Amino acid sequence: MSRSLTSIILFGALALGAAAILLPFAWMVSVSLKPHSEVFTADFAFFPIAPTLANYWHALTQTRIPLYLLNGVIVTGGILVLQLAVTVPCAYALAHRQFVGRRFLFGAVVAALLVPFHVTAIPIFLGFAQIGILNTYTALILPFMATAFGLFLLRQAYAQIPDEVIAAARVDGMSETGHCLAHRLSARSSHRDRVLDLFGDGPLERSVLAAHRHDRPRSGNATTRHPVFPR
Amino acid sequence: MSIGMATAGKPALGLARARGMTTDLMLVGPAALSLLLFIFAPVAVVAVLAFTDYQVGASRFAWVGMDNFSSLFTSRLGRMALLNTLVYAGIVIPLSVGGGLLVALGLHRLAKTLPSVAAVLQTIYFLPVAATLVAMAVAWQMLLHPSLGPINAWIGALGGTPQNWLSDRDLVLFTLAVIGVWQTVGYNMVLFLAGLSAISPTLYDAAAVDGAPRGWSRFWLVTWPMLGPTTLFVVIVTATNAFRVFETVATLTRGGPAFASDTIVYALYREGFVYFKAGYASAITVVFFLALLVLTAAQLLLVERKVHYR
Repeated sequence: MSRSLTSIILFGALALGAAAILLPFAWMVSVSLKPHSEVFTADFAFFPIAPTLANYWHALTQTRIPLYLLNGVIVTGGILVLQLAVTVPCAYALAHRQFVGRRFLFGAVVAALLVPFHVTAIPIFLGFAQIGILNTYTALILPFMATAFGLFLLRQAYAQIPDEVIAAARVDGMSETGHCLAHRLSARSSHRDRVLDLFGDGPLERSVLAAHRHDRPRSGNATTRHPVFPR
Repeated sequence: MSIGMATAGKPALGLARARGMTTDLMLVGPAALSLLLFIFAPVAVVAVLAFTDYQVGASRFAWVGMDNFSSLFTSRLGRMALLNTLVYAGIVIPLSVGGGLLVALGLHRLAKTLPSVAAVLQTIYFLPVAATLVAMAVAWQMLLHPSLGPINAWIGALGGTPQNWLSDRDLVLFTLAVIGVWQTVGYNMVLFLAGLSAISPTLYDAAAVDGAPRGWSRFWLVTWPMLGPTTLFVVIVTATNAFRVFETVATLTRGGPAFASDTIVYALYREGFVYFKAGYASAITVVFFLALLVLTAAQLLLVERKVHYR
């Protein structure tokens, strides 16, 4: 009896907290379904009285939001492809090959983990301004072609493959490129890495590199955001 | 973790060795180059620029010694940015860590009786972590709107005084901190849940035998000490994220009103990318980076030395 009572109280408290967490999401959806007259009114109603999809239609057809979505796809896709091409071979070599400076390079990767983008933003901006690639997709993609986080995670995953497996494959005539790609064991870490990457692209990165001198993003009105046009 | 053994068939011939080195270079080169180009060189450049008066686009610059640092720490604006960041972190760290712990404890308990309900609640608490903070900041802006938002409408209905949450100098930092807590509580909850599930049930049995059957005594005797490493990790992660606050400031207040919500990363952005004072912005960057490094060092030292229950 007292056990189920505790459960009910616990559930009540947690549900209340969850409602608070959900509030901004719920309000966002509710406002998105309201016609203009209902948004700008003093008579307050949480749920729309005459729900409409007009706002969505407007966003998709009258604004440049589809272009921004496309920008997101291009930049994310570019980073993904480049990062896979650059970090996978390096992570493999760090885990399974002997070469001069390997320990040093791994140390550098760990050190680089400590550096957030905020710290490198100014020099990268100055450098990109110098070579004239601000306001291009390249500027948004290039700095993230090899992240310390990706290198580190992938290297740890590759290190879990026994050296014997690699040696056996080598005896069977597999090339080093083959090793990088064939060892499916690391696939899981790779997925996780990509997912974290998608979350990790913060707005500072974007706002800095999309260098909007005249047209900085204003809150609340997506149409004034400056898209990235390749020159 | 095998940090490597000699690769099979060590090349005896110089030619084979040279080939091996070329392979190494091809595998490692691009990544090493991009780390150098986009991380280490920029860090070095920032450290140098911090001692100059360089402006973006200028053709020359002069060395100014510690001037940038002293103006950050002595000017009213610089001090405000630093102080605001500390106040923000001072609110977010305890509330977000404490809130995450409470929610995790509750869900851990609830999962024993109502597992599916606990799973749904857990997903809800994690939603803000997965959502894009900039977009959600706009949702918060609508929620907090002085005349059109529901928060003030409810406060008015309950007989309270509606507030200008984002344009009142004395309130704005707290409003941003609440959004910060809202955003990070779910992440901390997940970390605490992982920590809780790692506690062996035998410890609770032992505590029961020793006369601490349930409730608070059980919590203080077993749960809290066993969560030590998790708690420390959560505190450090929350702290580093709190010091980096930028998104909500940039979208909701732009540091205003009258710099009342200016924070260190926003000041860095404003000085560097709006006013183009690269030298001064670099000095802010150096201070920010050093603060983060101190936090990381504290984490390493404390985790290694102080917390060793396992």
